[in-house]
Amino acid sequence: MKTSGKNYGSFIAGITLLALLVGLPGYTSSYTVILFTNILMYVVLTLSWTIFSGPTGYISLASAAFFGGGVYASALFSSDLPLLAVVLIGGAASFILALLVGALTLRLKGMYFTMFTFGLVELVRNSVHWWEVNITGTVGRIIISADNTAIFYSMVAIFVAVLLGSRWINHSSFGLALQAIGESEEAAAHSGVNVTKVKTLTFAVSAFFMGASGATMSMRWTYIDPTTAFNIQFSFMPVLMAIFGGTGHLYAPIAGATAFSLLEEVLTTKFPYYYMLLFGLIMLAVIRFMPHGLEGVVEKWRNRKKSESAGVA
Amino acid sequence: MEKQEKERIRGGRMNILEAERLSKRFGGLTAISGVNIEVEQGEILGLIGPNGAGKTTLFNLLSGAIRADTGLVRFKGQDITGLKPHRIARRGLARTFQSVKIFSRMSVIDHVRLGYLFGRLEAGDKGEADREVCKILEFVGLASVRDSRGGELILANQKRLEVARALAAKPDLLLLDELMAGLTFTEMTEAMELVKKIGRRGVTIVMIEHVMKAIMSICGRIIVLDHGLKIADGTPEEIAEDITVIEVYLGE
Repeated sequence: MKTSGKNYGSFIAGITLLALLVGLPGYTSSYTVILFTNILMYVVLTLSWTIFSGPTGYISLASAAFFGGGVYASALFSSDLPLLAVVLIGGAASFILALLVGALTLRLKGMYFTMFTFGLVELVRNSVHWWEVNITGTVGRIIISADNTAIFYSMVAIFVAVLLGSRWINHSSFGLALQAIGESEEAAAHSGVNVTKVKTLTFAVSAFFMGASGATMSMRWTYIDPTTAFNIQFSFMPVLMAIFGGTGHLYAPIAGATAFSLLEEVLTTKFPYYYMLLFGLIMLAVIRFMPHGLEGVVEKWRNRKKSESAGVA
Repeated sequence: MEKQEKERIRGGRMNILEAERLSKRFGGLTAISGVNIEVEQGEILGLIGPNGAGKTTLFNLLSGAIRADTGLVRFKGQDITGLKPHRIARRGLARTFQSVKIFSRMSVIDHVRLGYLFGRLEAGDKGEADREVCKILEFVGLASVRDSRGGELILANQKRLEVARALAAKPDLLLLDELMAGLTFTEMTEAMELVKKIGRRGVTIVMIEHVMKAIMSICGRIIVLDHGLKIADGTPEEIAEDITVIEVYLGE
């Protein structure tokens, strides 16, 4: 009964936060709405990254390829189709790309997988660039933009979807299989888990949400080219944010991404010349003093409270 | 078809597993060389041999972890040569590992749940799954640590956990790779009891073991491998007296 009471409490807190978020355009400036759109983008990227890389321990740097895939899908269709359709197409395009890439590369382990995914972003970016130079003859595209509020709500919807998706995976037998794969692929396979299928499908699901967020964000940028769409920053940021937040609980990547993107916003506006330097220093400090990220601090505090209350009783 | 069926049923007992002319080379090393093995339904078969004889390689070939260069494996009358490990597992062939491969951050009960949910072709409803999982934990003696993480268990219990995960798939054949290795005398006695108990449930067992006392007292039949070749096959008494086996183990 105690646990269900606790769940009830966090459910109320979650709904309240979500309501505040949804109401945001009603009581703040458009600057804040744009800022939150940006934060949500990073939250979605980090949560999506965590769906696959959290339990399996495969460090993927392919996020920029899937994000950019969504951006380009949006560039191709945003003039003819409604926003929702564009977002779904963006997600689907990246889903398919991830299925293909996953089936080919998920037998690679550790560093080799990471290097390949890094290379994938370059490959896709250069291929699109080559296509634009040699086939279409124009580099970059103008995108029919949607208004900031619509983009914000699209991002909120993707955020809720990725949150529910992660939750579902964590509590399903699928999530159990993922966790097993992360610990020992051999033991998982001999226990009846179709390792390749589970890995590839999860990789693709995480890519779907990345693509959807790419398709949404491109409508805010109005002009895109391969360099902005497949910016490797979209690969590194989710990893850093997940390290900063943690990956063991659902709140951890959300907190990590939010704190990190706010930090980026403050540093780039207040210290435009030293921001990279400060960023690096802060990252070093985090790794030195919070090896398990924000999550490690929170869980330590929780455990202490738990043992204190047990001691009193 | 009829001839095959007759070959399979000898003297009223069926062979649950048959391997024919299995061979596997790793570069210049022949790990397994033309090995024929038949495992009878319901027996406990011991697999012994010096280090590097190819025992674990044979398990890896039977369970699909690696692919044989030549030869074939029939399980319950069906050809399973070249099938992926998860497919072989779902058909009812489960295994444990020489160096324990438990999931260190996963709870004990989730290990068994995983085995139950993925190890068989048709899983029951959730209530049935929970009941079965609890029964298996009771059976192997891990019910009291069901919420501990795999990594927190002592070695003897980690080995029990591997057995529990394998049993959750309701296997017809269980391959045990050095279950006794690293256990204390008392733990070993308990492990031997567990193997006998599993055998009494009707599960066929093939076990690799270095502890001769365990092998001799549990197994009805023993196969000896040396340098990838099958050099002996017989009852514990026959094996104990076999001159080649003595040579291999003790030198000439």
